[in-house]
Amino acid sequence: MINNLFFGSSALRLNYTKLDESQPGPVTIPLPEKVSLLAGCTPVQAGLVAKKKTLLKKGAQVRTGQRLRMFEQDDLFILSTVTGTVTGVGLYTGPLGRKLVRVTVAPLEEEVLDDSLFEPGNLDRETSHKFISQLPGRLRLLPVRGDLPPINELVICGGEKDLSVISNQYAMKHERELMVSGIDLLKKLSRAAKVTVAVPGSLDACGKGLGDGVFTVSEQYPSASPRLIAKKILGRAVPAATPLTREGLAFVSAETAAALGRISRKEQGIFDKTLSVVLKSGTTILVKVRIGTPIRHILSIFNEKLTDGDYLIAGGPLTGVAIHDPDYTVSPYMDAILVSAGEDILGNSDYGCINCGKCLRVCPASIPVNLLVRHLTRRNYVQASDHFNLDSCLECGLCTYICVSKIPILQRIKLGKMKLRAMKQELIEEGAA
Amino acid sequence: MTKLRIAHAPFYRSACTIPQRSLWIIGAALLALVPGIMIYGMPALAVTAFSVSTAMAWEFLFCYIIGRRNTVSDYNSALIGLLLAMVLPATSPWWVVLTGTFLCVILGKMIYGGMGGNPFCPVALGMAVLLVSWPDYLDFDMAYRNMVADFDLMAPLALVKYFGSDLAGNYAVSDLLMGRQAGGIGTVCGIGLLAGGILLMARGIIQWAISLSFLVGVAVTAFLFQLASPGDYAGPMFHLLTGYTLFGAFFLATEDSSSPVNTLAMVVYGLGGGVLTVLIRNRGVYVDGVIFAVLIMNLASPLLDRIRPKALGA
Ligand code: SF4
Ligand code: SF4
Repeated sequence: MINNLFFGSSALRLNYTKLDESQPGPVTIPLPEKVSLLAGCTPVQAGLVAKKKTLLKKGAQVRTGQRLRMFEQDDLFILSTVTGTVTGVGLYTGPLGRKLVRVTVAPLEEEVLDDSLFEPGNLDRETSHKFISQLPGRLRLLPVRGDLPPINELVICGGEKDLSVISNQYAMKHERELMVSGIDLLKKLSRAAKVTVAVPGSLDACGKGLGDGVFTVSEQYPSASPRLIAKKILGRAVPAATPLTREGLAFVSAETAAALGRISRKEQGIFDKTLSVVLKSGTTILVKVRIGTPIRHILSIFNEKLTDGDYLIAGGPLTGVAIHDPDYTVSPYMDAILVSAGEDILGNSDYGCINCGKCLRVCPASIPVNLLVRHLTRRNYVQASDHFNLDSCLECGLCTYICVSKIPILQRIKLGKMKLRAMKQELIEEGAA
Repeated sequence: MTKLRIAHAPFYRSACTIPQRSLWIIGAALLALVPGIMIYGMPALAVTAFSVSTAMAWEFLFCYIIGRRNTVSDYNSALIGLLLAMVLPATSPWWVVLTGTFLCVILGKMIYGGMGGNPFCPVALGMAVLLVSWPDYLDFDMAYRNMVADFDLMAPLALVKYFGSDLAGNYAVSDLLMGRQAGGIGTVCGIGLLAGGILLMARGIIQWAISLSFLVGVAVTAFLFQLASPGDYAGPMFHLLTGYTLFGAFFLATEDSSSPVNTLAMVVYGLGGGVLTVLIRNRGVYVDGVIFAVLIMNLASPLLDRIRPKALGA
């Protein structure tokens, strides 16, 4: 994926991929022999899994939507996306070296929905958030903790996280009825006073009547980013260090709203994720696939062979994550799977910043990226945050897309943020000690 | 098992790279340089070839001696050599060219760690040192005294500076645009420079905010001078099309590392460069002010870049 545009100014503008109505509807991927459900875990939890001290054991029978509690000690649960028999509980190293708990289930044809699915209204705030976050959909910014202010405005996002992705647009266009029910349920869960639907201009009509108002987002990436929407809605920018949930705003993607609609209407397909598959040839296919399906299974349906040196990317081209293992499974928020031959992806160069200024001209957060990157490269993280707006970054990747020196800017930004978080944590711990 | 590759996002990238960028600027510069070589003939070609090759050689040697990864293949030193040749008279002796490329490449760029680290435009820096060291070799009237051409080989800026603005009328705008004037090999052909500049601005390689405001700065200042004393000072058109004005606006002031990047800062920078150019020309000791104006604005560039928009949520 290399963009070769002649005119400088046009290279600075990337538009979201639009749902193509002429394309056939989504291809339904049959259930695989095994699904793997993944959940992030703490080192303590990983230790328990390694010692086989989990509540869930091999051989257990599970129903679709059942909350699989993992440990005696805490309330981590994984929602089963299928009905079947547990064939293993273990650890798995995910992308970027993250430790994950993996539950594998052999699904049965006959599907039984678990009753607990239909009572999300009885859940406390934290559990309902955990619950919602395991439904299909990318964006779930809900205030989790009890000490956060109540939600004034619930924003349903019909825009996407990245290019190539059309999951929310699909829900807006084809799952309206479900969204209506889903939004009702969300209103009850979140007690939001107002619901706004934020959609790209082409879907304005679809947004009408879903909430109390429609907010039109531009087609230009990344205007559907929650912070940019929040700025427009509130009429002022939320300070970079403040979580949006502190401002009484909650964001839920259209796809999640539709999944909640399925729950309130007791319909099948609650755990079917809509995602775009982009093959090496460049063909894009919209698929519906059960969460937990190995990527390898999806690719085999389209006869796509992976060879040495290929890239397999979970998520869109600007913000996705490279996957090292084709057995990695579809997660609730995986909006796209991209397969790309190695030579189609431009690597980094070892040049420093030449100060061409292209990055800051594309940056939606008006960050002086040319200066920021110099400080990040020298690991001056505190400086970077205090004077060069590290915290304002939306992690959209545009600066890195355009960078002439092919510097991995976004990676350095993420690393810088991580280091600063770690430093703050250390200070807190020292203070406590 | 297949070995998949791992990298960090984004996976989608624009194709423009440093070597490409250098080559585009070289291409744009050639639009003005080729007509220049046709006007001044073989000596001009020799200066250009020698300048480009020695510039590349200096960078190669420097990298080799300090054991750094060789960066000649990014064509930036070739570009520097080419731009230096463009400002030199066609008759420059070989040792002036050799010293010039050394100054530009080594003192102007490499000692700061290569591209992106240099506080001054390398070509302007090198040329400034040459101007101060060997004024006679770089004075166009001296340089071209033995040359014959079918147009007047008196350098326009010098003529007007020393003999009054009436003589500006000797130069038809069309002649200046077509390169029928005495000057640097690549800086005489106004049409070529304009074409190259427009190409680079359209490609987004140089910023209109710098180039255009530079030209506006020159035009407005020249206009004001002429208004004050029409007998002493030539008008805006003359100043725009003579000396290094167009070349400076498109190829010197826009050098990435030494110029600001925020729009408002670029406008101030460009205007400042333009104003200083005419001030030096009209009131200073030097005939042309572009080189020094660019260097002075380079100095101000980091400061100017503090004029920048507030970041989101900052
Ligand atoms: S990744 Fe951050 S710094 Fe880069 S363009 Fe996006 S918001 Fe700006
Ligand atoms: S795009 Fe890359 S090289 Fe250009 S100023 Fe930004 S960081 Fe530097």
